Amino acid sequence: MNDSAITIEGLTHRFGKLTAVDDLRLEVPAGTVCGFLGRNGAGKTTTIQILMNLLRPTAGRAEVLGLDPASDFLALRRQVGYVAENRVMYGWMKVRELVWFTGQFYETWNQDRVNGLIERFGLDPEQKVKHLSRGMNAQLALTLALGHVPRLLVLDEPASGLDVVVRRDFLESIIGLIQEEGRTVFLSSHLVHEVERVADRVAIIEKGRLVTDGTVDDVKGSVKRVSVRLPDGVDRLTDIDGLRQVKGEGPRRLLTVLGYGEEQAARIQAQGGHIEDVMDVGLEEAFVAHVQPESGVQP
Amino acid sequence: MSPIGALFWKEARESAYKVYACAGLAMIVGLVFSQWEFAPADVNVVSHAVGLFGAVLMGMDAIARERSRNTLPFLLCRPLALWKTLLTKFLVGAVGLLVVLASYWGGVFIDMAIDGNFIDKLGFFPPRSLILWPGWQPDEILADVGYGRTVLLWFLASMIPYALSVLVSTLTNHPLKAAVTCLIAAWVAYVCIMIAWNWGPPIVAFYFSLLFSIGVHDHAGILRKAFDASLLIARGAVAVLVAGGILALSCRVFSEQLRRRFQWVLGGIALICAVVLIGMDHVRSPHPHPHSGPLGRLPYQTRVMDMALKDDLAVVLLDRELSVVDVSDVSAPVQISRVSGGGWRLERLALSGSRAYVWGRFRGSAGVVSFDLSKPDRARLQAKMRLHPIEKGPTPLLKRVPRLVGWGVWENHLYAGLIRDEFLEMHSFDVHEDGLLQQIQILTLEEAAKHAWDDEWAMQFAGPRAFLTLGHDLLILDLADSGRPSILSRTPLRRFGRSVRYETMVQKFHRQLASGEVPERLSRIQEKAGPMFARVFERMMQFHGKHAYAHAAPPGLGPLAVEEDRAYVERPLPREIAVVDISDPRKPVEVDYLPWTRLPTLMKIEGKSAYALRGESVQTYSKTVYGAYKRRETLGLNRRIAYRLGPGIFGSDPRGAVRGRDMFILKDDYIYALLNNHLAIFENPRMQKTHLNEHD
Repeated sequence: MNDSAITIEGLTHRFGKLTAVDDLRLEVPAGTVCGFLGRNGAGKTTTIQILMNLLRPTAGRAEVLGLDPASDFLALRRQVGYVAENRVMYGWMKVRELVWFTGQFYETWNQDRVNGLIERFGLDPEQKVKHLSRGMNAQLALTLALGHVPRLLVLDEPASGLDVVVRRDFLESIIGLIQEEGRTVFLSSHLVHEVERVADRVAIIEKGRLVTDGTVDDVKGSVKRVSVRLPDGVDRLTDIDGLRQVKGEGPRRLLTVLGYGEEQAARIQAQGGHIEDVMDVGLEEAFVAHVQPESGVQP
Repeated sequence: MSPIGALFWKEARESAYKVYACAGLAMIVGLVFSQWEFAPADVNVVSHAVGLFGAVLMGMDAIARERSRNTLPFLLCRPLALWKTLLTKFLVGAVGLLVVLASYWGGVFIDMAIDGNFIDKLGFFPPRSLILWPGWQPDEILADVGYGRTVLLWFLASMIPYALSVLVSTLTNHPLKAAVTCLIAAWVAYVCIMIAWNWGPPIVAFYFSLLFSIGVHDHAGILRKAFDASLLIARGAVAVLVAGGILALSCRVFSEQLRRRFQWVLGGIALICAVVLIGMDHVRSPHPHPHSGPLGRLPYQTRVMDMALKDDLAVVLLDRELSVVDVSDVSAPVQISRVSGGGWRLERLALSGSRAYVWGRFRGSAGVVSFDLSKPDRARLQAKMRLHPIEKGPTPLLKRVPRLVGWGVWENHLYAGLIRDEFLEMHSFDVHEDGLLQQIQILTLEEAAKHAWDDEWAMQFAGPRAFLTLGHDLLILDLADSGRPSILSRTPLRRFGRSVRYETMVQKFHRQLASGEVPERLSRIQEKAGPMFARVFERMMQFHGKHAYAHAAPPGLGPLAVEEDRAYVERPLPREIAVVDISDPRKPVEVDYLPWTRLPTLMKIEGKSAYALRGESVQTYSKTVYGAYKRRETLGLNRRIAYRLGPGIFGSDPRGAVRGRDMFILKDDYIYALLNNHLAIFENPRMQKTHLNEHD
């Protein structure tokens, strides 16, 4: 049994001249909740569509649950629950009908579990799908994705368009539930807060390339906020690798540094800066630091 | 339920409203357009439109709707193979299309069942006549082909636009775009087909007609295409091409679901299949040859009526004379004698020994003239015998002219089949050295009434047998005992079995004729014509004359040709020629059928070659691998043959008065033909180097 739920190697996808995914390499260990972070247009959805065999990569290789999405896509879809970005389902069907319809495609369909989820979410089986609120719609989509007890759940922007309360319940409780069962969750989002709350690991993608991945703590730890006092007559620091952001006026500066270490500390001190404090940052800031361009960040 | 079942359910639910609406509309259209008032836009033409629009409406949603409302990912991430998804969608639409066509033809058949004027009977449908045309109407043919087959026929024919529609649907992101694109594509295809058909090389027209020619009234081809295995190969090639294209393109549109290589392979295989099939046919069937002129010719300045061959002599019957021609040198036929018919108008010729017996007319009566040909260079008129006075009938249209429909000699008996007073009479004559002796009227067949109006209907003699068609039956008469002739066999040659409605029509027609009424179809037009169109109607009746009656008559078998142990019988339902094995005249068996429109011009089928008259030429054909006949070579007096249409309704053919009978006889390696008042001798193209004989 492969330890990785998802393995991506050198994955590239081009839409004409536009390169949506560029030599992406990623590994998602089984049994984890992995947040797949990136800005709009970073290539998250494209990557997920390739994993679901809705797209064919231009180059590279992906493996999901040890299966090749292109050749074993039927077996793969039987083991993977997928909620697409827009979550549009057949509006004319009643909830009950849609559940029945979806269930017909899977031999492992667990109706009790689905009923339990429907009850939990307070969905009315006789209601038409088009009359559901956005939150209920998302809940229904998730219910359907879980109906066949998938080993891997792939969620593409699952929380977008939901209000805070729904989002919280939706993500925390459900993902917790799944993870308890030892299943893997791969969710893409640009809402970093939400991911931070539920994910063990994150992978950050920018312009189709993987910027970093690892546990949430690792990623957060890779970015530090450094409080620096500048000597008189010096109003800028130069040549600091990984410097992403400088805040503050007067002699005090607050630097956000990616990959902060002794080397950067030495550079600061060499220019006469006095390091007052080194602070941890939240995932959101770490994310921004990772995806922000290095240039144009001069104090 | 299986995933496919669930998908079928979903698709059916989504399409239901569309199918109901289209089916309802189609039925109304069927009811309306089967009215007499719409005779010009006959039900077949409308069915084209219903089939096309039905196909577009059913196919446009297949993928485009999923894409337009963003449900495509939801569907595609289910564990169901893409081809199964597409196929299920394809099937649901096809069922919808079937329902729509069934409704349309249901409307037509309901209308027919209540005697053709359902809406008119309700009294609220205002338009009277648009244009009147008493010609061919499809009711009887439809009745005989039957509802199920008609629907199936049109369903199969609509499959191509439907497949196109599904294909376009996979390429677009909105059903309306798909529909509009598909209609435009259909229109462009139609224009291209029309251009290729009319102005392209014959081979293009041939293949198009093979694949797309549609119409119950059209040649029998379409019914063969629908039900005959041999032509299913051709349709199959198209189906493979279209289906392959659909899969390949849909897959591409599904954002490269499959490897591009696969698409190329699939498309390539389909293309190769089609090319190989057409190529096979093209290579194995000789290419059409434009035109060939005669080896020798002999022009006559008068009407040429008939011809018979004897040794090196051709006996040519002219309007009022008999001409004996030496054809021992085929490149230079020479007239060696010419004898007057004594003022008779001569019509048909039969040779027996050194005698020529000719059926002709003389001043209001008809009879037989015999010529002595024992000295070919000094032929002479031997005897004349008047038989029948010509009487006026109850109506101008029913002029009681005894019309010769069969003329043959066997041993010392001469046989004549005559239609008089709407009855068929068989006469036989003892042939003596010094002339003729009328013997007895041997048989009268009342059912010939239908054929009384059909100039092309004829009986044939071969040895001691006479062959004729009555209604849907082939009759073989035994003439061996001239004193007691008998019916050897009467064999129905129906393609589609008995139809109660058809039988009722026939009975009604005969009843009306018997009571001297104008047949219902014509009287109905007459009633509806009203004063405004009365003149048109009058003109039309003048033009058509008794043909109008033939049109009004329910179709039965047409004329026939007899060659050794085969009889070729024209059958209008569908229009084709039934090939009957008559080696046992007591038990004739239909062994084959040929997609042919007209029999009278067909004289012979030899192996894979066929010969027919067309315009002022003898057309030679060869059988293709599909079983259809393809034109091979045109033998005409001139290099370019102008196919003249018959006289129009408001015009007349200036040459009609002097136009004789065109015919041809195959003998040895040559074709002897009467064309435009010429005797012309051609080399039989069968004898030329072709691939044909290798396959015979």
